[in-house]
Amino acid sequence: MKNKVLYIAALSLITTFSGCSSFGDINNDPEAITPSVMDYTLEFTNVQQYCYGTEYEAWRNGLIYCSTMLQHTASTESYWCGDKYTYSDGYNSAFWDRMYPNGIRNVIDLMENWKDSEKYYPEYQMARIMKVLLFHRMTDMYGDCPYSEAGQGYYKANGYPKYDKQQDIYTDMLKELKEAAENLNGKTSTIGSADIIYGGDCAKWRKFSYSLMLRLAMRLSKVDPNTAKTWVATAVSGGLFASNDDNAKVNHPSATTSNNSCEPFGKIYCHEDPDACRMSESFVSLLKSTSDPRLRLLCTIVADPSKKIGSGDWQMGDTVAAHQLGMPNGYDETTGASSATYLKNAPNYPGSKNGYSVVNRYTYARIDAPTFLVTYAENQLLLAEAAYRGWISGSAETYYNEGVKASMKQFNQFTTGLAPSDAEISNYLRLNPYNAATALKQINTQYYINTFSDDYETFANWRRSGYPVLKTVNYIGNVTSGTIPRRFTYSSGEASINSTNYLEAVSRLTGGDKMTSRIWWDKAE
Amino acid sequence: MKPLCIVLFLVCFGLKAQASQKNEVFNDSFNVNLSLNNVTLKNVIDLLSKQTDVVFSYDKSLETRVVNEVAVNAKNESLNVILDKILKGSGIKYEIKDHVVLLYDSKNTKSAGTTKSNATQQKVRKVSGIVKDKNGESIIGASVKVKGEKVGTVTGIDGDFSLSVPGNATLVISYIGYVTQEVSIAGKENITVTLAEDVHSLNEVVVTAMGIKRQKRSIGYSTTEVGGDQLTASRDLNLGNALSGKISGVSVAGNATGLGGSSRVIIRGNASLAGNNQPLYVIDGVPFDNANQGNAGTWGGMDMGDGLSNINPDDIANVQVLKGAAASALYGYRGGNGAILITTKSGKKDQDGVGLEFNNNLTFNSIYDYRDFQKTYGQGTQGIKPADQTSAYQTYNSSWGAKLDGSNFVNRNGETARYGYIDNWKNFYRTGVDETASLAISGKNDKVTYRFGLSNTFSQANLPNAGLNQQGINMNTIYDISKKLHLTINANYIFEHVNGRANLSDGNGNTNATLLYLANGYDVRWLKGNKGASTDGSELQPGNNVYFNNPYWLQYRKTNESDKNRLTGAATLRYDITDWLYAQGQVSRDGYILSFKQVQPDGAAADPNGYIQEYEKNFSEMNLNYLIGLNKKFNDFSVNATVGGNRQRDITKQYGTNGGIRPFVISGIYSTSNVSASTRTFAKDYTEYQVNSVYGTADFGYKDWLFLNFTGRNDWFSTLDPKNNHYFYPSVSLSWMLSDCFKLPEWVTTAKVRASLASASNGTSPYLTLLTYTMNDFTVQGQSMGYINNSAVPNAFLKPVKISEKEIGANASFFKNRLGFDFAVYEKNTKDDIVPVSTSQTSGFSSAYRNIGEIRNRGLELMVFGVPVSTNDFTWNTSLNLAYNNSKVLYLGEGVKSITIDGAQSRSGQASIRNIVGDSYGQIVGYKYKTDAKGNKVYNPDGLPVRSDDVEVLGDGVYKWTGGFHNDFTYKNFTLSFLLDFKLGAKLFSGTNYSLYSTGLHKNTLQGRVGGVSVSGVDLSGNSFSKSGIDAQTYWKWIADQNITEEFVYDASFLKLRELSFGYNFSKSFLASKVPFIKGMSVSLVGRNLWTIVKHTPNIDPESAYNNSNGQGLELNGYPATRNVGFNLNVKF
Repeated sequence: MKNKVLYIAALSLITTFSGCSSFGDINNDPEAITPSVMDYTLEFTNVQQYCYGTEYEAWRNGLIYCSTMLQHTASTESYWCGDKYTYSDGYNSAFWDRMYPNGIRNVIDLMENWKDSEKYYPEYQMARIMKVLLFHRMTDMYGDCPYSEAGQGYYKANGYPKYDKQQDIYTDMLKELKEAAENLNGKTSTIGSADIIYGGDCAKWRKFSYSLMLRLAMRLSKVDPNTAKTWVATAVSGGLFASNDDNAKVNHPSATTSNNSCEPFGKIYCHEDPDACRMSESFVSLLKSTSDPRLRLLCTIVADPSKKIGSGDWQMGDTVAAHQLGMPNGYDETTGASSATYLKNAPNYPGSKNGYSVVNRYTYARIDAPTFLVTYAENQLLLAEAAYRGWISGSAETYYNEGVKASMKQFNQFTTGLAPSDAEISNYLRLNPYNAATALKQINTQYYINTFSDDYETFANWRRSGYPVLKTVNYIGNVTSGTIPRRFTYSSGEASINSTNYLEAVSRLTGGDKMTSRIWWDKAE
Repeated sequence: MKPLCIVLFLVCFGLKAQASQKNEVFNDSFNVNLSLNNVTLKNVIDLLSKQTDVVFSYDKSLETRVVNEVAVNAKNESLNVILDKILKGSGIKYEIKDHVVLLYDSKNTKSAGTTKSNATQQKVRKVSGIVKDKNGESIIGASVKVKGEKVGTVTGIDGDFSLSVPGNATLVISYIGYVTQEVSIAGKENITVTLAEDVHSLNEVVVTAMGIKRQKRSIGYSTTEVGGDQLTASRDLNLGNALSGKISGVSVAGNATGLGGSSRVIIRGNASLAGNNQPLYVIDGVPFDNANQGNAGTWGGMDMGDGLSNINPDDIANVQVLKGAAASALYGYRGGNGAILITTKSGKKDQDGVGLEFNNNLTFNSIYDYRDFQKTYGQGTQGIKPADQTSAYQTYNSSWGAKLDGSNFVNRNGETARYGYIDNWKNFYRTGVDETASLAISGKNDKVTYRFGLSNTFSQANLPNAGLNQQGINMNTIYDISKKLHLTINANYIFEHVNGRANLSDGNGNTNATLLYLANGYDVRWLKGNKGASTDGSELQPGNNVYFNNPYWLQYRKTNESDKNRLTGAATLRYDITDWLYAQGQVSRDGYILSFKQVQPDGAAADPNGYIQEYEKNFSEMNLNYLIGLNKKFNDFSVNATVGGNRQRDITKQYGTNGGIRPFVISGIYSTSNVSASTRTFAKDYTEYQVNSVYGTADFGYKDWLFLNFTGRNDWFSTLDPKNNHYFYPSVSLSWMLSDCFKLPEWVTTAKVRASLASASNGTSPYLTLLTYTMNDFTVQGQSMGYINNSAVPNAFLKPVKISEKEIGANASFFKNRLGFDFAVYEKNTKDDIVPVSTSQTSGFSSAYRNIGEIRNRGLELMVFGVPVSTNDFTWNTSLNLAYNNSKVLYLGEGVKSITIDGAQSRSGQASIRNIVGDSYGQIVGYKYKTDAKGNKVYNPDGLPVRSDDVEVLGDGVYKWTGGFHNDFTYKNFTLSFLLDFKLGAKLFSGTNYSLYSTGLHKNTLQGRVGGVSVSGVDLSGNSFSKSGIDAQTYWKWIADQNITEEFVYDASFLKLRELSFGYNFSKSFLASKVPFIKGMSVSLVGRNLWTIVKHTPNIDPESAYNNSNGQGLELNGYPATRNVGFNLNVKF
């Protein structure tokens, strides 16, 4: 007995020793997916989700700032800072805060996994295009930003990326688009429906790449016209969108308000913050003064806009064009009757805030509206400007007319049959004919109308072109001396966490890390 | 050294003294088998004691007497025959007196109890008596001697003795573990002696790491024992809180988290910058998970309790606290923060038949109201009371109105009400009740010793419709399969049900917040409605803020319930291979299932759709432990060694809804299946890890006065990369009994110095080393989406944290243990601490885990005890403990100056708790008043103070000094004890006081209500500036709105009367004559947290943290403190 016990004890000890350092797969979280079994097409779709965005940054940078600054909409709410150019650091950096740790991290990870893959060679090219889509928005909003070292916390153990110069970022993005498009030539993708933009259609991706290239090229028109011209030519020869059917967009069938499956801007208009903004007086006047048939598709008047979609008393409202009324920017409901900025003192005050139009609920204020990333109409309008500048052959007027028509017909992509008729479009063009003397204003005003609810793009093109000319507000407490902001400020954590790189980038900004400082391509003229 | 005549009782194995007749054992015959050569008398006695049931009494000087050639092989021999053989030629004689064998030198004719002293020629007479402890239990084998003589005897089975003594002699009564007492017998023939327990004796055996029992004298590090009886009377539902003030160097943070909440116990400071800082808990050898199951943070939440809230103090025999790394080094990675070993009660070997013990503790908890609000001005704004319902609705929490003059005003409901002060606390809170009944059955037979404890706790919270119910079963069984093979099975089962855990911190959902800030004169009862709902079923809001909730709605409609089933148990098989070698194997498991359900009905102001959240968490830890132990003496040397191995595996699974899910399809039905299918999301979490260990310890003793102990343990972690997943933890400690080594003055009873060096570690969480992906809980176009799951950069190069500690200490006692001290100084260094370093989110991750942290803790601990009075009728035991710990953050990585402790950010007021290089752990950081170089406050042109440009350090969040002062008085059958508990040297940011400024309830806001506030200082350009007539509401709200954090940071030092009990023990003779079936009975009046003698925090208890996390120093809207008063009844059958 004694010996037996001793043996058992000794054996136990030996067993313990021998098996000590090996634990098999215990440290692999069984509820998580490890890299070895990950299906990266899932991550591909996830990157596309960030290409259309989430309510977080769409609400803050997109609507609270861009849309009100650019007077697509107006708001009396104090936290809708863009209406009056007041400051919120968190709203300024929302896109940055949201995209770097999500969309950008994931696209970098996706490309890292597919860079040497034969199977996913075409999809790798698509990922490059998506990366450019995310980064051009980023640099257009903030200027210099981490690009070459961004999202490399894991693969390169770089926790503190440097900020690339915007010029370098543009140079690389244009190169990426060219290579991606060329590499897609003649390829077939297996990704199928995991590609929620084009269902794996490589030809359409090629056109998407060149169309985005055209957008980026035209962005350089102020700062570097020669480069702009070169890249416009590359884009045109590569092959752009041929019709609205080629539009880069994401549809949101069966979206629900409890998550990010929705069209993000639409979800805010109809569910998250439905009473916060009205259509801007500037925008509605513009549409009204030109008898724009899009007015009835962009606006509606609702008895009680605070009711949310799905609440039972959700109302589509009155979309009759003649009834629409925009709310002027720069007003509040708190300063009282003696104040000039008190909404009730606004000219043409309809007696109730609810007398002003809100976003149309058949089109943009829908959770299942399509998200437009790059459109045929935008292409045509940019080509019109390029032709006007003599950078490409062809008639600026033809491109302009085609752009306007495409922009109108684009409403069929909300619901077939919704778009203005050919006759209405012809009538509109007859009333508002292309005029070479006001070409830039006309073209870019159309661009402004077409990019409603893609206000990052509205903001960028307005800074580049200067059109439409907007009347500014100078509200007490604004941080821009009454001028429309020209960029967003960096995320507040960067100053302390990534200070060396942050300070270096700020030193390149004339005026510092302010909303009034201009980014590289936004050259003051 | 003067030979001390002591009586040594060897009761190691089976003092089967249950016989009812004296001397009976000596009529027995014995089987003895000895074969010894050239050994000391002590060796012989040791062996004899093991083989027989005989008790020896002898002069200590005889211990080393050599006994020649003993060879006895006796079967059924009488004791006389055996002793004759053994003592032949040794010069030692014996005498069997009563049931004890007295040994004495043959040259010395003195024989205890029989021969009177030569020195005294007085008349000899007979004295008899009884010796018992303070509970009335008889003490068997106590030494009773005549002072100054070598005459004496020992007490018998009923604690009785009788002795022939000189007429006016003084008797000296002593027993191991009790304070020696002297009793004059002048004029008495029959005496009753009550001995006070001596918790400071060095001859006791204590439990050390891995359950290894060692003599106190041999231990080279600091360890403190708390007896179970110190936890039962003035009890706290959380065992951690019950330790407060009792042990030097152990700091317990009191939380204001309400029923079923957790505690924070920190030993010798915080050694981990970001990880766990609480000690390891071990119950009867089973590691016991004490993880907090959820707590409140910046944005609110509730305290879901920890493990220590599930232990019934009635089942605890004692709590052994291993403070330093040397003490806990055998626990390896788990020992870095010290260890607390809890031993539950077991059946007694000497018990006669079946024993039954009943204990009932009933306390009533009334609110300890620390509020000192202004009661002069009422609801309203700008000095005006509400004129209409809208105004009343908007000023629900604004006490900036007119003077409360008893006039009429329009209230929130549009009714006319009296504009006067109302105490909403009195109208809403109720008296809390804690009632614990425990019943224990214990007993033994030839093979089995057992104890079963049953307990039921019922608690009624101070908030209505909230309470706790806990049932516990504790089992402890020792089965002697054979003389050498022993099986121990112990188990502790707890069922806990809590409903209505309180929401804390942020105001949303927090009943206490509403009750704090409702404007003066706003009667909470106006909000009663239909359980807080208005006629349409939606929440009757107090005002126009959806996050300022109706307390009736919160208590009666928004519900939460949790159930916890926990079983902790072990089976231990021990085989005594020889009398000096044994092997032991143990399988233990600690596991619980926690289920939680929370419902916010639709119609809630903040959640119009309502929500339901449900989950079940399933935790288990298995340990397989085996060891071989050796315990042997070679002449002057002794060895006590153990080698063993352990395999630990922890699994946690949690299933449930993905947060709160909504909307409900059918209104008013609150089940997950009634949630719309498209949003009925599910979440599961799983973690698993394993640690393999081998360990060994060797304790070398020399002449019982010098001990050197080595331990070593190697851990292998599944959580780290196999290339660097192991770590070795050595320790060495030395104990030197000066009092046994040198001849010290007689007044020195014991003196010991000790020193130790050790290393330990802290655990790492699983899944930090690998990149993983997860999927969105929604689809787009039917497509699933996957993304990287890690928010911190996975780090495959993580290695174990290194903690090393040096300690020296001393303990001594004087005047036969009437006075003594225990002292220790230590330095604990943490290196390679795993710290989440903030990274730029442009890297894709917000943090990265790195082995970079370094922190040092230095401190000293002192405990002084005394027995100022010890007479037969009256004993006074006192002890004072005091500890100082200061930490210094040494390194946080290249260029990193500070890190904010995870989640330690105040809701309002911009206070955060940070670890800052060069400062001590947990600094409160926030804005100050901006001042010029001379310290004058800077004011803007409106006369409002300007805050500092940047945040600054405002003070320590962790106390530097902790201590307690305990006193125990026994007079005849009465006992009185109290504990003062104090802490010094920390500050607290009070979010409550911040909100009291905004709401105009703080007394400071009275300043300037008439005539405005006057200020003087400097203006923005530094020129002297003064202004008066500043609107008070603007001024005081400004200070809060500008987040001038400094204004709300207070000294958190305090002195409290923590525990008080006054009891009566019914005498045995009384019980025997009146209620013979009751063996013992005591009743006591108990109180807890009765009096805060000193504090510096206005309106709040300085101990009101809203969670037990590392970020201490923040307070906001905590659960009100209570004074607990009640009764304790203990009956033994």
